[in-house]
Amino acid sequence: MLELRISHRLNDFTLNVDVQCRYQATAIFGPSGAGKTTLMNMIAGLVRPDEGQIVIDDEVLFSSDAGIDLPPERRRIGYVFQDDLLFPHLSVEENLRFGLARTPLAQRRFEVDLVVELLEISSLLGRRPQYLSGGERQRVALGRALLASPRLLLMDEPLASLDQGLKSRIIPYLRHIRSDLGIPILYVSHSVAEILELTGQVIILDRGRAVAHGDFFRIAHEAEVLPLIEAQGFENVLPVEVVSSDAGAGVTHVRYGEQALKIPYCDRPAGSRLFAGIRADDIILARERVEGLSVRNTLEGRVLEISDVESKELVYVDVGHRLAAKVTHEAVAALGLQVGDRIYCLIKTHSIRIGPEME
Amino acid sequence: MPFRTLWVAPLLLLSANVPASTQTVYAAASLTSALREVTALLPNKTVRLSFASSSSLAKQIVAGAPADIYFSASNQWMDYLDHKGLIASDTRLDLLANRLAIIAPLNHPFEVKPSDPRFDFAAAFSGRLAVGDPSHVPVGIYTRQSLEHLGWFSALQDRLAPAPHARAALVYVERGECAAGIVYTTDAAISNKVETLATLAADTHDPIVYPVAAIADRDGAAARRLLAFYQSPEATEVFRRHGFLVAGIDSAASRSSR
Amino acid sequence: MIVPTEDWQVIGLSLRVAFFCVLCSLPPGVFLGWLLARREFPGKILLDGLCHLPLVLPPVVTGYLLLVLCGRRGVFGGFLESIGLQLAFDWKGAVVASAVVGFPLMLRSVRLGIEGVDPRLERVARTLGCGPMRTFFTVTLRLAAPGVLAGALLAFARSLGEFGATIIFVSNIEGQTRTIPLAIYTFLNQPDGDSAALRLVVVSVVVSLVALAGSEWASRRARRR
Repeated sequence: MLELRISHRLNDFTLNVDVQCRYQATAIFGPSGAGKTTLMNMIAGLVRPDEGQIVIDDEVLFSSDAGIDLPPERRRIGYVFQDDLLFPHLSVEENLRFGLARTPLAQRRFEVDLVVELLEISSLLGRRPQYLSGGERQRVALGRALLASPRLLLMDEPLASLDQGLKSRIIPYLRHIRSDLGIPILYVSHSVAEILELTGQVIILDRGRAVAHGDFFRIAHEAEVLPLIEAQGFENVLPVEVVSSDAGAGVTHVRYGEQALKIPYCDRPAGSRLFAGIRADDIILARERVEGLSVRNTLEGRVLEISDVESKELVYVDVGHRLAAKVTHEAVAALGLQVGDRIYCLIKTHSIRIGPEME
Repeated sequence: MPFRTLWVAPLLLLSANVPASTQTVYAAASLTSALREVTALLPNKTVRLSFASSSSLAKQIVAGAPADIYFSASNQWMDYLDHKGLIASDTRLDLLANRLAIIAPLNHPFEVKPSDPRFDFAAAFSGRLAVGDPSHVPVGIYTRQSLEHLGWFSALQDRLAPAPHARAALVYVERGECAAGIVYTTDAAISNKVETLATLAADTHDPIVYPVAAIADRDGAAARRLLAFYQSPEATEVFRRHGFLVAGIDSAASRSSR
Repeated sequence: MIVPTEDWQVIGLSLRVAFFCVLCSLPPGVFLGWLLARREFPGKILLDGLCHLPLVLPPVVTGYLLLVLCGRRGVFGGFLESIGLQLAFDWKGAVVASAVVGFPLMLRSVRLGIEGVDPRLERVARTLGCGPMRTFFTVTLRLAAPGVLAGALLAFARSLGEFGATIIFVSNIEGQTRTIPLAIYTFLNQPDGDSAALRLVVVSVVVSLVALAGSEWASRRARRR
């Protein structure tokens, strides 16, 4: 369990965070410059906060009041960066063992063999980092951090410099680490899809402030959060189950509860479960089912809430899952929408983004 | 040599306001203050001075440097040039002489009796003796002769601090780095941070003479005029004031060993 | 006999002085190189300037300054005497003269080497359990090795050629302070010494080439690792 209470003056704004994380994996999400990396550096002990307290499992790592500031080498917090930062003057094996050697025997949790096998890097051991591919290097960086037996693993956009194929190959390793090795993970990313691969617990950081904290699906629609995730097309996330795929028609049939949806073709076997993302802008509201439209998806639900957002209105609809739809004031007035009304959400197939697989 | 005449021509062109013959005197470093003052007595600014060690100057002259007069601190280097036919031999004369002095840092004197054959100089002080480098610096060469004559050399042979020139040897004594040193009397006179314990007798070493000569194949008449000026009463007075012994007036200087 | 015994004595002394010069100037050179490369502090420019002073001063002036500072009556004279160290007129003084004169050269090279090491690597090492000292030796210094080696070579070479400060500070004592440059100077100042001087010049060039080749080999090995 990590307790963070930080107040720190940065260039343009003040970093002000007061959160507690008690989950296996928590993500820190926010736009660039929000202070995510600074926060991670403070937890690792590389930057000293002006004021505050950092406590892990009841051990105080930093306390400005008590004058405690444990140096990084005593915190046992692993750190994986966007750039692998492997030591160029050491071989892969020497890199891996770097932290291991400095961990007292009693505190060592992993054997080299275990980690090497887990990350599938046994064939790389004798090589120098310069001769590895990006994905290989990142895996070695992961292994190096693990072998120092950290009590917490910080990851700062570790997959950002990798291509999509590579990302999807490394994510299973991350899930392994989270579930099988039992090391808590703090994962920074500016990609919602990437975060959802690993965890639903998020801290949303914007200009130094934790604007929301908790289950992503609950907080996604909050007024302060929505603008931050809007650009990525995941304001609405539906868990669906694949029924069948039709390559010719370019469509995959999925099921959401009792309702059927058509999403863009993806090669997933029947029965696999994944998240589908829909932008609030892309949901059309209708009083009744409509025929003869190119829109192929209709979800039935009830109006939960109507709220003002800049020049539009946000209409929250319960389709078994909370959806947010953005329509004009004029539309709300013309339809005479009220809370509790039965409403249909029309969604184009191609407005649906295919998200991470559910585990 | 025509090459040498070429040197003079640009000089003539450059010196518009001065009479045609601007002369350059190459003189040993120990003559610096005295010669500067003598040169200041001249009515026109026609003489340029260049000071360095006698050996460096000699080598420069061999390499063709534009010196008109060579004023050395030892006969060795004047002979060197003479053998190479680079000086007008008939103009050569031993103009000045010097003496050696034993010095100590100011307010740290000790007794020195050079005339007493039983006096053990080496035992009279501890540490090294500051001298000019006996292997090539004239003052050092004379120092060694004197020490050998007095029988003091063997005891001090491994206790020397051979300096590249008299100024450095003076500094060693001034700073108390050396409890004693041997330099020219003229050098000791410059510094107010040392005191002279004794002057070594002139017969303990070769005469310390300062031969001067005109360089061959230069403006001989002008050189002779300058040399004559160095022997004038005004110049002589300056030299003596700086502690040099002057030929013809002080007997020690009029002996030479060529 | 191509190289007479007296020459070997001179060469041996020069090599000994140069070796100890590097040995003595490496620790402060590495420390100050690290300080100037990695730290900001008030007066940093002043310190940098001070370290480069021997580069702009004529070596003879440096020699006189050493005499003033480290001579018996100097600022450090008392301290040196208390630890039994006599520098003037001693080969150890020649070591100090070389070390002071060559220090700016070594410092620049070391500093560049350390600046070329990604500081993030040092931070990673800290998170992996390395304290600051350990990080410095196992990561920073290892990666800066080529720069440090080059700096050591520069100091060594400068020492082999050091004349002005040496001859003033420790004078020209045969067997004690007469290094190669001083010996060459002595020969040149004797009417018949030109050939002996030339002989020493040739020998010192050969020695320098060997030293250069050796360090080139060493720094290649360091880079390969």
